[in-house]
Amino acid sequence: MLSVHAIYDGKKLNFLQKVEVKKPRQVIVTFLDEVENEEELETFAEKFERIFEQWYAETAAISGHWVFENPNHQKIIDMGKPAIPLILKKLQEKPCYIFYALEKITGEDPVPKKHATNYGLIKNDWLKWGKQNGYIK
Amino acid sequence: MGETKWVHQMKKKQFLTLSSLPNSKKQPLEITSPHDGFYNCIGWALGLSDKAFWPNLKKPYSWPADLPKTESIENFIDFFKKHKFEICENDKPERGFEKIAIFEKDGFATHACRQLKKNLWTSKLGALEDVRHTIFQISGGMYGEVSVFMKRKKAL
Repeated sequence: MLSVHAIYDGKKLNFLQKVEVKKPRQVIVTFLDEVENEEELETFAEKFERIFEQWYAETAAISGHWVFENPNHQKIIDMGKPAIPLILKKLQEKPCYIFYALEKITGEDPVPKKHATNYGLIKNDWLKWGKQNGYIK
Repeated sequence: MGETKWVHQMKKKQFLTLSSLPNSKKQPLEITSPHDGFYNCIGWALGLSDKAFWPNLKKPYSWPADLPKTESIENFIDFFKKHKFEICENDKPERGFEKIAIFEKDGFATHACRQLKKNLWTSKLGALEDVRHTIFQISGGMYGEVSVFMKRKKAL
């Protein structure tokens, strides 16, 4: 049975992941407790945006363990594979040291050793990986 | 991507304030380059705009193999000694020398900046921009305070 999570905001169901349904299906909706915290009504992309930007605001101006020990960095990792296209999009938009999170989420490292100290080459290696694996166009 | 180049390319000066550097709210930092991930404050303190150095971080950072992977101020001093810097008493400009300042907070080295002239310094802010500033403007927040000044002879 396909299990999909969504949030009902009082008007419509907001799915937390993209689902493709080819044939008509019977749908069972289970209403859970009411949400008091509006943050819980966020879509996945909105949640990622909020966490990433908070992490970036708190750490982009510094080097060191603070960048990766920041709780929001772990939250990005915890969002898992659905966050990969969003991370890669951020990487295209602005300089950010998000490679470690990508390694942790994907379990992969597409960067050859000879590129390891060059930000531009590392970035390109990850974007190429993202295209090859269908995460970005 | 030198600092002078960007200053001249900008029609209007741009300034930056960061909540993590509270004094920048009182006196905003003058931006002198676009944001860039290729180098960090340590590379920029050495005058490099294509290298990021940090002892205990992975890609794209590097650190000499014969130095420890700790963020102690002593380790950073040893790093800069490898690049012909020596500890000096103060930030008073000296003819024929360039000076840097290393910042420390809670026992960790946090930042380094390079002196341009009396009371004027240049910093690369992590993955953000290069800025011009006084020591006061970047003190007291996430970088903490200056721990040590170092100097080396200017290259001819």
